[in-house]
Amino acid sequence: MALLELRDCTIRFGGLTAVASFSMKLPANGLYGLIGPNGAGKTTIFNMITGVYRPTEGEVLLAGQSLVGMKPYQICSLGVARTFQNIRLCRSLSVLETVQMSLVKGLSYGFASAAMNFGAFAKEEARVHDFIIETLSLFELDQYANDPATSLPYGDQRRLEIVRALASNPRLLLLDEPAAGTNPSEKRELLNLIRQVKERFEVAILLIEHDMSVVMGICEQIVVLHYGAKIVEGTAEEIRRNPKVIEAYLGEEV
Amino acid sequence: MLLTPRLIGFLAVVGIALLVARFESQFNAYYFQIIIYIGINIILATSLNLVNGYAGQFSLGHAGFMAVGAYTSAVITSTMHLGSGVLSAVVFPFALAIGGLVAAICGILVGIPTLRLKGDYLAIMTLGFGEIIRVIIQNLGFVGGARGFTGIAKLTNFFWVFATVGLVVFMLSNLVRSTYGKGFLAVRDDEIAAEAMGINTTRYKVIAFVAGAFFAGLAGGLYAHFVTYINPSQFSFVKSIEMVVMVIIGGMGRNVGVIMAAIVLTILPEALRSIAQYRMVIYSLALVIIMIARPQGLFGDGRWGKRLWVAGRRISKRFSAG
Repeated sequence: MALLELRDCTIRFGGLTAVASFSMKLPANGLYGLIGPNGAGKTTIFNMITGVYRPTEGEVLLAGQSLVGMKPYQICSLGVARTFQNIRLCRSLSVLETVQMSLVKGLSYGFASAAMNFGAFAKEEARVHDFIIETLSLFELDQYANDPATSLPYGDQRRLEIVRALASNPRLLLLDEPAAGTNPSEKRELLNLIRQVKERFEVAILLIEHDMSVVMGICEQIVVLHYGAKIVEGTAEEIRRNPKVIEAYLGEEV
Repeated sequence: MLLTPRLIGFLAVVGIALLVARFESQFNAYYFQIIIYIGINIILATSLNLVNGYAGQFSLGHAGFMAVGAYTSAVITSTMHLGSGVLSAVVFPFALAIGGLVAAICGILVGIPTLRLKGDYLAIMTLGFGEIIRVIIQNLGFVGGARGFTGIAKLTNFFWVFATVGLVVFMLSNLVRSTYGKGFLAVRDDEIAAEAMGINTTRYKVIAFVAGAFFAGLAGGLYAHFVTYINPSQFSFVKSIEMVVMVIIGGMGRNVGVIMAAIVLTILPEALRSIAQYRMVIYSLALVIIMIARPQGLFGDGRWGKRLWVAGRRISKRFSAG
């Protein structure tokens, strides 16, 4: 069974159909790419999966369970984590605290223990702290642990967002333009990172990208979106040669 | 329980409060009153800081919760005819706690519908709520209505006020330092990211609101049993604004700064009494100047304590080396 399945998902905002009857399947441990020109509806699809938007029609299934109508935080606790196109790190949190916010949902203690520091509190906080440092060091971010998250260089901020998403222990990781605004060498690093993440954390990854070199380089399967509709799905090679894709990106031949 | 610096601080405050309470009668009554007000204002300001500062939900209805706590606890102690015996020392904290709980229940009732709103809308809703509470009390015959509630036993003393201050500050600073408490900051900074990372933002907002209401209720009870006479106009939105000013001057989301601001802003109007009619002018002017000079709050990022400590060590090292 596919880990993620979208079945005929349509979403309309007033008269505008942002996504029309979109279907796709993502197997567990798969690495798929979602590409398309600006405004094709890629981020809207992410927002439907994560519960920010509710599809007007259609089903979103995670391992067979419908996600439609659930709140984003509930979907996250079922194992869907994401990053954002325009980085969304909290201004007042340090790097360590940024990762900490993903661990709030799994805490074994509640308000009273937190306020009075009793019960499972100390043990749990130590566990959380160790886990964060360990995770940060995997991504070579541990030396910045106490710096404000938004003070990191741009590329590191993108990496930190991925770490934050991974800390919530997802089965499915949604990356929204992870390579946006990065230079070629950072891009290569990022490709390696995404591969590593997939192997080490055993997650399925769906990534949105504008940059063809990124998508073509790592994605097993690519879905091309144009004006809210899927025009083609296939391997990098198939996509590269497909006349519809060329048309969507470059326009019709004259 | 961990023996953290915060716990040691809390126990020290309670110890000092116990000690000072023994010599209470020897204080100048006027200064003593100001000290008690400082304590009550610290509770109000730090609890509002959880809502407005840490969780970022701008509430203007804190005086309403204070009123609920004040009237509830006053009704309890009055119907039990508590004087100044041993019994009252036992019952009083329970009366305070019940006042806090009733305020917290009001917090749930108000919070669940209003916390769907953001920013200005939330501020107006909470402002409206505070006024509703006041008007309801004004029309309740059995608590004196607009005439006020008289003959409340004077049960509040130095110990109860500062033990509560210690407890509230202890709990709130533990809370915001914990992983659990990071949820409040995440909700304030970026609700969409917080929700996507598995934080139930609505729940966090309601928890902040309810906890804030509970502590405000405690402060209300302490206030009622200190002044022994309360009336609805004492809990108007002007009182709420006063608390908001303390939070903003101290620095939103900075407990130490807010405590300092509560102290300064309680003393300032009293210290200016000598210049009579210019008092409120200067007080207001001071607020304007503080906001222009230090928009991040009087005590900035709250790390000034740490900087002071580091600077102090550097100086002492230089002296011991030289």
